[in-house]
Amino acid sequence: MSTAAIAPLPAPVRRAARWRPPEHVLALARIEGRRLVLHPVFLAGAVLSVGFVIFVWATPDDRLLGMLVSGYVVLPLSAAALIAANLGALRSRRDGTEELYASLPRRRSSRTAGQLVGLLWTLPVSGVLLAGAYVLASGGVLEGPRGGPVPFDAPAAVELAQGPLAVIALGAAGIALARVAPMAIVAVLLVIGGFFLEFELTYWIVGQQTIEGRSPAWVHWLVPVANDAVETARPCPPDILARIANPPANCRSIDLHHDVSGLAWHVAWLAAATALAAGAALVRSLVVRLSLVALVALLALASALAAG
Amino acid sequence: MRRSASRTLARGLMRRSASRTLARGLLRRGARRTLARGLLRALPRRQLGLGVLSALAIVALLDRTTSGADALQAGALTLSLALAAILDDPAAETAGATPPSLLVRRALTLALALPVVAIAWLALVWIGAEGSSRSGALTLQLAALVLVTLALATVLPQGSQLAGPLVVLTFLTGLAAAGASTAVAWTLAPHPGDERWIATWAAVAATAGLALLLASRDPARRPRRRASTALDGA
Repeated sequence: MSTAAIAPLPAPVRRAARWRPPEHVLALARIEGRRLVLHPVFLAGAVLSVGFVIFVWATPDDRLLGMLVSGYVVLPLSAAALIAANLGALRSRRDGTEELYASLPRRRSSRTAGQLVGLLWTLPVSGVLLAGAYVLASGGVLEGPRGGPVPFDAPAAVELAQGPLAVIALGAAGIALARVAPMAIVAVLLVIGGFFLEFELTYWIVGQQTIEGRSPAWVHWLVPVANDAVETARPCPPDILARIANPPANCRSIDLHHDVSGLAWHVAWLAAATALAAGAALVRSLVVRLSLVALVALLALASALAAG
Repeated sequence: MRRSASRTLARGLMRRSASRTLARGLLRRGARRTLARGLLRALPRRQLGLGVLSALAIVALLDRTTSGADALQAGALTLSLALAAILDDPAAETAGATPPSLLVRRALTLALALPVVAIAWLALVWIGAEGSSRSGALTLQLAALVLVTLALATVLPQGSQLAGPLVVLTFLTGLAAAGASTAVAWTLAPHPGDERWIATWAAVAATAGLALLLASRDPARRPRRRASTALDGA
């Protein structure tokens, strides 16, 4: 009996039971991600985002700087991601290759999963834009209209997370939309509606409502990228009144504060909406798909009410 | 044998040039009616209807939260996008060989579709409750956006689906050029009688109209390009 025979066998190396996406999904994601970030519409969105930064550069204002860093810098990019991802998901339909793909061994959900994972390729682009805006805002290089650097409060983590997450969420919405309503025009109509809603609901002054009291305050959370700056109009305090030569009768001063907890609800909704939209794009049953889309809308309402 | 074949060919060519001369003149009334009926059948009515309904819904919805002029601009953008596919003629290959030129056929299609847009726009202005001072400027913007959509639809390869995003991009660029989009004032609407607004959108409309006209010339009447070079290398 040799000693080798009684020596204990080396314990089998247990691979960590970590789940990884299947290899074919990753292979598709690599191609889809590259096609997404190189899509002309996505590139146009990136240029518009840079244009937005230049616009703020030209008209420095502390409210605009805060908005930029809290995600608005990638707002044009997220709209472009919605359209580009939608066009990508409709590609096989447009090119008439659905039947050809149906003859392949993998299911349709594999291709959709590849497109969904490919959305992660937008992260470097939105990250660079956000970092650029942050450097611009925190550098103190911009001079305000009254002289001196524009004041800038350090952003909270949820504020920084909102922008990149919104790009992915809207991209997932575009892919889900291609399964629910397979027409390219629908995504564009959604972007138009979203643009005007963003434009109206971004800026919110409590007490002197921009929407003239026609709708309650919580509606301003019903947009993909929400502004957490809440401005409250109060009657002017006596020390300001004393400084003004002829104070108007309805003199108002505006207090600005960032509603970070409200934004946390909003960002949680964005994350949930991303997951639900991805689920809606992947499932085969139409009923389940439509229920998931309805759930996204319902959660939007619930989170807006919770955020207040 | 060969001589008779060439004679037949010459006769055919003469007949073709005669039909071309006929096409240059105005279409006969009966032919126009027949053509209009076919074009009406080919119009993407579902997409047109969907676009008009979405425009009405968007204006009715936004009018509650925004100013009437901003809501109307969303309506104008939606209405113009509804026209993205009207010039895609499924019978273009067949109709291309008939006497009416491409320009005549497209003009007839527009004559059939544009009244729908005009009626829808009147309804939108009525819903948006915008006074006449600004509705003129907004109508100019609508005309420019419609022309841009049509020009893009004819210039871009069919089915590329890039016309919609490009119209939105034109809208945003036009707003920036007209100086209306100011994040501090939070309005997209023009001042009544704003000259910059009128100049911008009139220029956009003129450029797009010219592009549409140039792209609608009948292929037979366009300046000839060099003959195909596919066999050059062979």
